Amino acid sequence: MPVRPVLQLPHPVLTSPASPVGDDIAAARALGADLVDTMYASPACVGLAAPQIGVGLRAFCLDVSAHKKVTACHGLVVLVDPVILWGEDPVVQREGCMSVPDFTGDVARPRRIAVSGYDLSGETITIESEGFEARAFLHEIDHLDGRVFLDRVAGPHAVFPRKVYR
Amino acid sequence: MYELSLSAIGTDRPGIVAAMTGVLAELGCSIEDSEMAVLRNNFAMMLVLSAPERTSATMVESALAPVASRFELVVAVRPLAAPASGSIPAKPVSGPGTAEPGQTVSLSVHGADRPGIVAAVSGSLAEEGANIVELRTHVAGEAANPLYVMVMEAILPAGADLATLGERLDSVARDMAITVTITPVEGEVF
Repeated sequence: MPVRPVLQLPHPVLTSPASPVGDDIAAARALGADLVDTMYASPACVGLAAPQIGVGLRAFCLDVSAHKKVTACHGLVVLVDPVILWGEDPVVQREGCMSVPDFTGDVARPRRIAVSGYDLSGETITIESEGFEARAFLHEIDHLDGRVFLDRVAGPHAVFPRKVYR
Repeated sequence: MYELSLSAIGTDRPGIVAAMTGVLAELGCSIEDSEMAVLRNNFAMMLVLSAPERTSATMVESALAPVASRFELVVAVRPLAAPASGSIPAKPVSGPGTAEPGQTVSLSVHGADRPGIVAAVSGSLAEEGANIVELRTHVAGEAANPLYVMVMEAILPAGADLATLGERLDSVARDMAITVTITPVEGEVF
């Protein structure tokens, strides 16, 4: 269960839609373990999607519990083949990404969402969330569609170069 | 009062804005619209001034000469040009997928850095008669594998065909191995 290198743009895996994992639970568990280890290896990282470690499969993990201003928190979540069930009340917030370390951007996303998928025991789960955690879910699911936050910014004044990322 | 345009470029140093605006205040010029930017270490500033009738563009430029000399700036002051009429040409296109008159679109582009990305994307927009009103580009990432990021805003002419523009941009994206996302900017609704 190694910590894997996190890929950065312009790596093509990050701009390609990922494939479903399907019912290979063993593969999902191995991938999930790598995602979690890699996410926790970077203190500022609250979520990581498989394409970010070079795997073109639809799975991600997130854990926003250490983040301030969290209103909804399901702790550590690993979700495989996720689907967005609904989203409502779009709000604009600043986002960053381990795969786009030189920029942040203002992105509009629904404030409340529901997603489903299956966990590492193969059980189908449905999660309703809001606020920062909801945004993290949508950001990670975007990665599975080959999308990064730069594809959703509201315009030239919504992208901010930054010098340092930890 | 009448309007003047002032532009200044040079190497960035603390105190440029304070020195220039101090002289302008003494001349009785008010700063109406302004934008300033620093790219790497290059400073650029554009101002629209409201100046007293008795103060000509040449007089403002002369008054700023000592500051320009001290900070090694290139400063140009001239009467503000009136907007060109019909600067956004209308295309006689209509039907489904037709843009609203003056539809504003936002584009985000990223990919491996290579020559010609700005030219190719802006060329597609020009072919549809679009007017680029905002443009920012950045080179980031590792020197061995640089990432090019471009964000822009453009106003489409009345009747511009969004589908045709989308096809043009898709073709550019494939040719240059870049990601291009075009999003209509929603107008404010009151």
